[in-house]
Amino acid sequence: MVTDERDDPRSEPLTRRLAAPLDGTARARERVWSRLAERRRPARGSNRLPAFAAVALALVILIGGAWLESYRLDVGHPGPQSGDFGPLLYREEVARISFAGDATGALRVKQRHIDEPRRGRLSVVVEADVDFASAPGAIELRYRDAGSAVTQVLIRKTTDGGDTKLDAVAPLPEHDLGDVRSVEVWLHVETAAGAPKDVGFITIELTERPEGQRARLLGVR
Amino acid sequence: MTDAGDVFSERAFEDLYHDTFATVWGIARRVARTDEEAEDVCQKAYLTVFEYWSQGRLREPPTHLLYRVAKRGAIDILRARQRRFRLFDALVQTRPEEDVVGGPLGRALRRLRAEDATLILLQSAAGLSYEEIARVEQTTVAAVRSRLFRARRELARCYDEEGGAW
Repeated sequence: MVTDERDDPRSEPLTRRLAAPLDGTARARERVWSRLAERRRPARGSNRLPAFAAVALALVILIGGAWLESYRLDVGHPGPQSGDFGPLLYREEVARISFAGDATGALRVKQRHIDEPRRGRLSVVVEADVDFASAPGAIELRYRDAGSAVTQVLIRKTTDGGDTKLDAVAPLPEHDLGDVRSVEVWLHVETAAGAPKDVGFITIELTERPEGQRARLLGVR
Repeated sequence: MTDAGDVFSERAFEDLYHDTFATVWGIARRVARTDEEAEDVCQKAYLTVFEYWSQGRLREPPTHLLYRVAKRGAIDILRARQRRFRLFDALVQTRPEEDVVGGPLGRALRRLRAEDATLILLQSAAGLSYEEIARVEQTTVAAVRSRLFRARRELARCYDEEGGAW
């Protein structure tokens, strides 16, 4: 250690104490070398297996999830422009609500493909399954824009003969690209036993996108 | 010191590591609160050298870059400690056993400007001459001499104020 002759002479013993060897240096040398060895190796391929395993696991989850229909994956789905091609990942079922009583069943909102006339574009679809305690019975899938008093009927179905089961499927109407609106959908039920009633109110945000309609749950009541 | 022209090899890097670790550790551990904090400083310094050296981007002896990066890490620790100390003066009490340099000397060292404290450590813990420090710091010998003179005088003054015995 080199010191200057002009230095405060009192600093000399202090700096000498700072130069004393530290306990635990050898252990630290081993620990840091181990850490360095871990950090310096990845580019050489020893860690490629975990990376490959991670990608493989992600693919298994992706494909498995799609197979179980917890979500769907479309690839190269055509939109109005060439830039709309590409993978689309979405959960098919947006909302579900069940009910029981003289009529038992469920009302669901899904975003999925339907047949013509939508030519493969996504649609937001309302579905219902109802089991009546006794025939006859009827159901209507209804909706209205949030804040509007005007109710629209998507579809009406009635039981046939002594049948007590009904199901209904209907897409919500399309709007201009980019349109975003809040829509409330519900099920109107008419039974043989009691007065008609409305059940299963689901409010969604409906968006018109290049790939079709997309829905996001806002609430149920 | 290893020369700038030294060709990189795993063996050369390992030699550098074993030749210099005690010095780098001595600088880092004297300002860090814990072993882990000091190990982080060491790891970063050696990884930086490894990266530059192995990619042929090193234009100086590896030890110069190594000590400079280690010193920068030590400065960061000191500044963080000083900031914490100012903010939580009475709330946070550093456990004495965490500081390798404890007592009045440790407190005096940590009261210095971070640049001055690490300069003193480069001279004392690393045993570098004025000329070597000047090359590491990429400055002149006169500047190093002047800064060290002031730093050592300040260290003695702080040590005195901290109640250190002579």
